[in-house]
Amino acid sequence: MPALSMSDIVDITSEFIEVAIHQILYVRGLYPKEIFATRQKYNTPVHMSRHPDINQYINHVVAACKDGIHQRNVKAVSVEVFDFQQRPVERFVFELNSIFVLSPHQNTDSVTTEMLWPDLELQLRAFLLRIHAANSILKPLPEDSKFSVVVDMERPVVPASLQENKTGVTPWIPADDGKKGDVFSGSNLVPLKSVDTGVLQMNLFVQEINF
Amino acid sequence: MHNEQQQSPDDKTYDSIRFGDFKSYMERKKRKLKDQEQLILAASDEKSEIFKGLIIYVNGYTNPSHSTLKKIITTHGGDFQHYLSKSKITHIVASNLTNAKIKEFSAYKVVLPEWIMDSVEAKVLLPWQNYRLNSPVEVHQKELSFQTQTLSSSSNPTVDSHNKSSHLPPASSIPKEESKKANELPPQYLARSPKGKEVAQITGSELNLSLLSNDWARKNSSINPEFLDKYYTTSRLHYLSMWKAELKSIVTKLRIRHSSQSQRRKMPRTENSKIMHIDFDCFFASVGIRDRPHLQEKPVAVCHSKGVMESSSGAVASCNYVARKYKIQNGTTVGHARKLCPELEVIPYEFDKYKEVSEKFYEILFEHADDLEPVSVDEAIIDVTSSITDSMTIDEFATKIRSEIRESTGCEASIGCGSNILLARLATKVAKPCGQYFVDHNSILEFLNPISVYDLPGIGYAMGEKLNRMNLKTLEDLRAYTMKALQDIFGKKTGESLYKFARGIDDRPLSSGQPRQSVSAEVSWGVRFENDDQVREFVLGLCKEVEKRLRNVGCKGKSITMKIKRRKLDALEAAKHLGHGICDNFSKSVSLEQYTDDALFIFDEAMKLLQSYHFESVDIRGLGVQIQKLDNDVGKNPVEEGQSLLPYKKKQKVENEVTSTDHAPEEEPDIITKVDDTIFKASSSTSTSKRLPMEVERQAFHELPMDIRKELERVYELIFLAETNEHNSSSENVIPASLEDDLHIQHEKGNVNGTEIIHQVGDKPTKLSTKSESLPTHENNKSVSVPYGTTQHELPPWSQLNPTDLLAMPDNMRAKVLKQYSEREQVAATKKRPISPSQSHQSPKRPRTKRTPGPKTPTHQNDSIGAKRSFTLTQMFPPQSPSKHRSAVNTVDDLSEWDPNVLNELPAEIRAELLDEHRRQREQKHRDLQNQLDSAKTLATTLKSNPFTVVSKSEPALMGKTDISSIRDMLKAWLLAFSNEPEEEDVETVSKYVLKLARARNFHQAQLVVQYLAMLVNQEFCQSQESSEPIVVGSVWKLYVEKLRKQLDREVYDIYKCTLKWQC
Repeated sequence: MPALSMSDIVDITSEFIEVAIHQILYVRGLYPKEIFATRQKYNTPVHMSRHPDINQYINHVVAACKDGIHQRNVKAVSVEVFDFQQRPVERFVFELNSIFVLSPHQNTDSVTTEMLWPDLELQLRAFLLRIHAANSILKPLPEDSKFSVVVDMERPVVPASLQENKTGVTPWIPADDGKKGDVFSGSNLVPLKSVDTGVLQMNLFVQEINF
Repeated sequence: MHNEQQQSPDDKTYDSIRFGDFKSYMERKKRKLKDQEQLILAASDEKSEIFKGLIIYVNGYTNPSHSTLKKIITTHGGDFQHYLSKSKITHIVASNLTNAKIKEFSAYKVVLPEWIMDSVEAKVLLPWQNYRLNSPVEVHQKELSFQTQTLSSSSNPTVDSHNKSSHLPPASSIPKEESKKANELPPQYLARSPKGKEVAQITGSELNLSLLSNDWARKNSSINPEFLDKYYTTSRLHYLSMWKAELKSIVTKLRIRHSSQSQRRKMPRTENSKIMHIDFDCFFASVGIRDRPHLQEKPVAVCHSKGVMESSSGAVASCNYVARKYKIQNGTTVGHARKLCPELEVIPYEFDKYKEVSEKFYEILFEHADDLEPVSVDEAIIDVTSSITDSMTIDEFATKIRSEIRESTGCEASIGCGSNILLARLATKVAKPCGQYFVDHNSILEFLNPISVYDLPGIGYAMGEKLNRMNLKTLEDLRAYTMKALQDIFGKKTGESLYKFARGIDDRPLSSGQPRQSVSAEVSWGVRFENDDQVREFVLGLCKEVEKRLRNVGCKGKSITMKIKRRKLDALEAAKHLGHGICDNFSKSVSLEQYTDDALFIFDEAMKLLQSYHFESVDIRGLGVQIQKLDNDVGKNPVEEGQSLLPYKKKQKVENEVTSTDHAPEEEPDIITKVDDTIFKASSSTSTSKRLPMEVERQAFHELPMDIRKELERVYELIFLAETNEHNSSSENVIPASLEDDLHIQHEKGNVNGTEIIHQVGDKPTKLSTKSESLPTHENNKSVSVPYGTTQHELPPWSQLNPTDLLAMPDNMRAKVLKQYSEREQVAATKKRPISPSQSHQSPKRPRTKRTPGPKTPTHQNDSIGAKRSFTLTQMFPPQSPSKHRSAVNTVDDLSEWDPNVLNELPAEIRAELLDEHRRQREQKHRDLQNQLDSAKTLATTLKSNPFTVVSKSEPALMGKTDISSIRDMLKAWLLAFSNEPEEEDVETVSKYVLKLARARNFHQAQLVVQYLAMLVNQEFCQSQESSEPIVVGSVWKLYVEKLRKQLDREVYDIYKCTLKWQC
């Protein structure tokens, strides 16, 4: 079995983030359990929303940040949860650290890691498990909570309007305030899991606001 | 003006205009301007109707000015247009047009202002065709021929231009492209100037005809079949260049002979290096004067021609300083020199003498030089660093060399010295004539300040011009610029070297062994052909010459370049007799499938290249055949080529050797130096039984100095490796050698052994030298405490390495460099080990009587189980590879349980097996260490060549463990072993581990570790609350856990401004 290349890792990571977001929505009860269907992914049952709009939203967000991940420009992808008064409650943060610097002319396909897919799959399964476990650590969410997915970039980028024509993906919009990091400062942090693939380290944790 | 106009009564022309009513504004403006014309007309008295019916527009700057033209045109009946309305106008007047305008106006009659002026003068409208604008942009040199016919042009421009293009000289003499371009031009703008000169088209055949009518010229030009042979026997330049090639080979030979000296030059260039640049003063002239004492005080020049006539074109090759006073320089033509100094004595070349002098010169230099770069017959750069001592200053040394040169050759040489090539060369300029100059390291800047930028190497005419424009004259001026600024202006490389040169920095090595890049034969004098056969003959001759040269240097080439000088089509006969004159240079190359040195094969390719140009043979003024991509670059002698490719390879082997087999000695020396003497003596009695095994090759061992061997004997159990040598193959594979034995052997074999060693060195240099180098390295470390990596001194520290340099390297070289670095890092890690907490039991405060590291001393572990305070967490869990299973731990323990005495009594093969196992364990550990090399190595991976594999950054590990369950086990055992209070060092180890996890963003694991520890502490001490003692003791643990938790919290807070949520 060939070791995963860097572009494989990027693909797997972005796919996993999509899966995990569904899982978070399910576990945290942001939508009624009925709208989720059980699927098999990473050799383990996962829950996926059946609502086309939700699916499209998540899909588009992840697709939009995939390029960013490729260029190692995505700092974090987070699922932020607000209560009905728009007060922040908690957020799941997928932090992506890349210690690894590619020279611009280097092709990501040519970079391989030592990671094999079964090993990585195992790790990703552990992530999903930890998301489930987080439910027992975190306080239950207030009624009528809402969520949004936010992508933190390393360097400022301009939303690509052309992207829509090419990929059918809705271009992303800048987040409301640049200070959203402050919203969650002082909160409690629950580390969930981290994995290092050599080219990309993913670290998942939850920040929970103290009321 | 506006006011004036307003006063004149008119209709609405002078009414105010509504805002935005641009149309009426323009209309009225035009009307006003017409009114002005009427005024002008009324004012002037000389009226005529010359321009009647013409509507003229003047574009751009003209001479006479726009307003003058306006006045003239209006007064002579023309209609002057202020605005270009293309439908109305008949003529456009302009003296200059941009390309865009030329295109735009291509359908109009564009004339020069002179047409107006001349017409007025002549009082009749002149034909405008003669005044067509000839735009400078479109002028081609090749269009000279057009002008010849311009004067006879008819009034029909279209037919005219067609005629001209059809009158072009034969296509073969003008590159097709250009003639095509000319045809595409709009007819009106083809070159024509009213004052065009008549220049006859010069044809090559005519020129040749006149030249070759001279018998001598015929004999001496390329149409003579013997021309090439004759050329090569008489050409001065050819002679000199061949000499240099010969010189190079002599230098290489001498270097091999003085191989010990070439070793010395591997020392890195420092400010203490002493480089000398030695240059004869006007070499040719002084050699000539030497044998003509009567010329001593007279101006003398060396030239091939006697130069009786002023027009004599031979160049002065060298002239003495007396002649230089008359402003005669090398390169001045003899005729001119004669004018400057009528009593100038001209002497001919005397090649034999030059060669003789030069040989003597180089002989002297070889005696003194560590390294030598031959620059030319009379000039060389040598490295004399090792010759300069306290008793021999560089000045004295230079004087010595100069007097030796004087005695031996009878000529004067000047010497410049400095710490690098640049300074030495610049110093020579000061030293001349007949002197010496040493640039002291402390006064480099003062020395450099007044020096002109033109004196720097690599500054030619173009660069000098550029610098001049920037008003940079001296190095002092240059130093005002930052490297960035210089790089911006001159490009990356040049900028950097300028920056460095301005500061007297020059790290170029002496390039003595540069391999040949190309072999060529070129002739640009006397090349005249009458037909293609002669060309073929000539090229064949060149190819044969090239073949001869290739075989002389013993290489073959893969690329053929054909160089052609073609007479510039308008050039007259060259000023220099039979010279090439003004030429266009062409060259084309072709890459071959395989290396060749075959003349006929080269000839075929060369002819194809030449024919592809379709030049007329009569126009060829120079031909050259060059062979590049020689096979000596690639395989033959890589030593000579790259900077230091081979040393890397070699060193690498040494390192491998060290890491794989000689691991124990690597760390041992450090420890030995620490153990104080008494302990050493005390333990020496037992040392025979506890010596560590070390594998050595007997021959390498024998090559060591006696005292080192003794010490090795004392410290290690020496195991001699099986030797490949026939002679020794009879001896046992494993000998626990004692010094007595060894000495005995040595005695017996005596000289025989010694000679054998030398013989072997010759046979398999790599292997033996590797061995013998690796051992002394340890010894050096031990006794003189030389910093680690003595074998790697050629590499700069990692921190000083410029990443761009790395990137600029070829891939395979970069890989090697990086490997070298990572290995060095590895060695560094090994060296540091004894100080790290995991080896803390070796620290002086707890003298252990033994110098063997903890995990390897079985007796200790067994003994110390009773005494709780004497072992630590780290000892309990010797670092293990995360991948290794628990069984591995057992084997370690198993081995450790062997009493060394028992071990010695075991049969040899069992013991060998055990030791082997032991060694493997150590290697394993070593590999772990390697895994932990983080930053430098991570960077290294990023720079690796494309494509490559990224090694996952090693996870932080506690005692080699990374999985949480084994860490838990370890923590538990630790707590149980130290139920009173934890060891300071262990606490630190665990804290460090937790923080490392946090920094690697693995908060989950960090939290788990801390939580588990907290839980353990709670369990342990809350349960035994009844007794009073554990409370006190347990509190230390609790404090510690609390501290750890706070540390982790702080770490998290620093990153996320959040605190961890603890669940317990």
